[in-house]
Amino acid sequence: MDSSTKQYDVVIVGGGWAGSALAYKLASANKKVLVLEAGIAIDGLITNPDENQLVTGNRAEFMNDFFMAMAKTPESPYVQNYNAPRPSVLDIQPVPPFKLTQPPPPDQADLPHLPEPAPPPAPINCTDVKASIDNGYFIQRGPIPFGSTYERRGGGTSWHWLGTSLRMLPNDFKLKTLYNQAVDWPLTYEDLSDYYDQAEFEIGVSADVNEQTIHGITFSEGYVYPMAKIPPTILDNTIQAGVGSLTFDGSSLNVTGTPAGRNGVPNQLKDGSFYDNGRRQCQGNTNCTPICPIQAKYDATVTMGKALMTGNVDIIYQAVATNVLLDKNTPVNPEVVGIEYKTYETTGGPCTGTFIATGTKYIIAAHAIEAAKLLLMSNTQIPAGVANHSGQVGKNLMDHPMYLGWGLMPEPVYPFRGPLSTSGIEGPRDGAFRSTRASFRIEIGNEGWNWPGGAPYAQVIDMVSPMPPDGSGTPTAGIFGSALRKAIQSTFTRQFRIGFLIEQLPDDNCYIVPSKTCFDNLGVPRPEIYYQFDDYTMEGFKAAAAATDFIFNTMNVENNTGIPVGSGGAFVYQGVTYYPQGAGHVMGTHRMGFTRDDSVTDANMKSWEHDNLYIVGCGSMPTTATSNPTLTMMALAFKAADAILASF
Amino acid sequence: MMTLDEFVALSSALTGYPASTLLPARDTQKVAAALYAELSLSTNNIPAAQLDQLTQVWNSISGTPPPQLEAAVNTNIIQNLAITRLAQNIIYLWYFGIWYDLTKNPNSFLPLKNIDHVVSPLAYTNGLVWGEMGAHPMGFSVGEFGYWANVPTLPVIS
Repeated sequence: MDSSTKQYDVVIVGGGWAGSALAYKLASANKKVLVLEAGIAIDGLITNPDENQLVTGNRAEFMNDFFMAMAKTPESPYVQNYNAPRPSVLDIQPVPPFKLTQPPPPDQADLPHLPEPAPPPAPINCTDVKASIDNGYFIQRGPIPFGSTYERRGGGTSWHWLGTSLRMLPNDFKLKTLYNQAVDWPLTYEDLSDYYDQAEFEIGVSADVNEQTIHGITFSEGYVYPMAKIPPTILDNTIQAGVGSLTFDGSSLNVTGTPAGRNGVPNQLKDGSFYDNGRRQCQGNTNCTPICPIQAKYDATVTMGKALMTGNVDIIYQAVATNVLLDKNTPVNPEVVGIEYKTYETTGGPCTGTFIATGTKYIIAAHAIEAAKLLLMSNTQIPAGVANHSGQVGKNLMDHPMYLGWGLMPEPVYPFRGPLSTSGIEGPRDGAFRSTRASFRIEIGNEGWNWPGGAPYAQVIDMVSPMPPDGSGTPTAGIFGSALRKAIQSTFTRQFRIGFLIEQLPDDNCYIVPSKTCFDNLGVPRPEIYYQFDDYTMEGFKAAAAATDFIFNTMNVENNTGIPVGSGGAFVYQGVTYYPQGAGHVMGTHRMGFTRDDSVTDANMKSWEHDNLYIVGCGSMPTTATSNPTLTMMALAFKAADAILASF
Repeated sequence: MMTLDEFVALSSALTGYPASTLLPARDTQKVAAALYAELSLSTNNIPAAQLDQLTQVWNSISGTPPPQLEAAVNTNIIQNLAITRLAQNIIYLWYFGIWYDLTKNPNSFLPLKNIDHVVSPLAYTNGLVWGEMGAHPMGFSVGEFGYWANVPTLPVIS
């Protein structure tokens, strides 16, 4: 099959979460769809019989690589691909403290979308492409390193998402109106409600409607989640007993089950049937990130598989989009006429060709950073890039920067069991305080100090090979045998951590541009990232630290909160140093909005300038709110699909 | 050179687990053999004199009656700075399935290029640390849905 010359109704760039959802919905309505996926294949899901495509990536191989990895990072199961590289924790290293008052670097002065002033370039040597990528894919300009990563492969980052499937709050859509902060969304909770239903059904979310009816969230009459809520852990119940009836800064600390994209006990749905997605129940592997060994946790390969089953979808893997081509005969608001893409045969081999995919409509669903990069790279006809009249493409890069608190409970809570997180504290997600500081939700972690403290390894080593106080760095004699066993039993069973997902506002100083000096193995520019926090977010960190102290003091927790292992960034606010962690929630880089002057797309995620171009993903979100964004992203993808179908 | 039997007996004293647990009669996992092989892996750069000394010291105290054995191990091996680091690595093999570079602090993950390594997937999934706390290796649960709501039974320490 020569897909490059076949005409499609819709060409989608990206075979991850949004791309899979869009492909499935459009193909189900009988549209002919082509998906261009930059990375390597989803095992068993190939339509293009190109013998040059790497057929790699089955779950058993990923598990083997995970077991063998010394650092069991989110990326550890997935091999790096120099032709479609992805960031890793290696990218999150300290950035030299640039001053944001210096003039823009000469190599970027001609990019019209840069804020003024911009920081100077750091001396980064990218001459050896592979060695340079081995030290991190991002070009981090700071002042704070961007702390989140993603995957570029069939299924995208859904391979290592946590599974949290919270809806946004109605007030989250109206931040400007209610709290005079940032911007409102160009749609409301009510506009998305039906799409939330669809997304929850497709994912197979386990949750309890009554428990989720908070902060004004409403459900349609008789609605039930596909599956009953996942049972809480002993830790969840302990925290609920300790502080669930209390408040912090006016917000309830009630502990509730977190809606989860992992299989539990099927519910009887409105139509009388019992939900069944054919996959297994969660076995509590405590490994949702980086990989669920048994696919009890939904990932986008499920939906891409269904999309391919329609017979209306072709997917080309190892096809890296490099240019969104515009109609040269239309000087004003040209339509897209094709997507130029490069191919390769191996993860480190050379480019094997450049092709153009054509269709009637085009969707960029390539991840917030990669999508913005592609639009900005596509500057042959319009210097500012495609869909960038507003200058907002690549801007407003946001995450849920996380504050971690950890300690030892007075009594055992038995961590390292069950899903990574089963419950959270949702009260602090909304309140009058949002006129001055960030809101947050508190995720309760079931993996002890694994994230903040490198557990169990670091603490066992401290027992067995303790460092002497003289600072010599040479381990000395520690404990062993029965004493070691007793120490493990008495401490590890009491480890726990909580994580605060802190709201971040859109900010011109947080942005991504294609590097002019650093490229991947195909010669495609790597993302250059500028990132910082404003006072609103830093006030959120301050409140998170205070909430940690309140909860820990109330529960007589031995507070061990310090510097999380592998921290790359830090900031000082009012004399206190904080160590933010990435949540993996990359948002805002092609935001939707009310007008063509302040946003990239309309509420249907259609470009303001290019009538047949849609840009869909977490990058569409104007503000972050506090809910893990994936469920909302999928709801947005379904909304965009409806709009695209209506436009034919 | 240390024999497999010596290795298992010493490992029992260092880990606090019976030799019959570390090397079961019906050994389906072959973990002991895989861990033992690390001692002769040339890339691990184990000083031969250090391994010989550890073997000799162990053989000189291995007949100590069980009630006094841990004290003897502590005095002669753990507190002996010439061989304690190698003994610690044997503990890590069993608790984590990991071999750490003997020349550096095992809690130091830098520089990134070093010889720290997981012995095998089975060495990881059979790591003792997980069961000790009533849990399972991350990514390798044999529990039923919802098991996490119940208090686990911790192994009995003899």
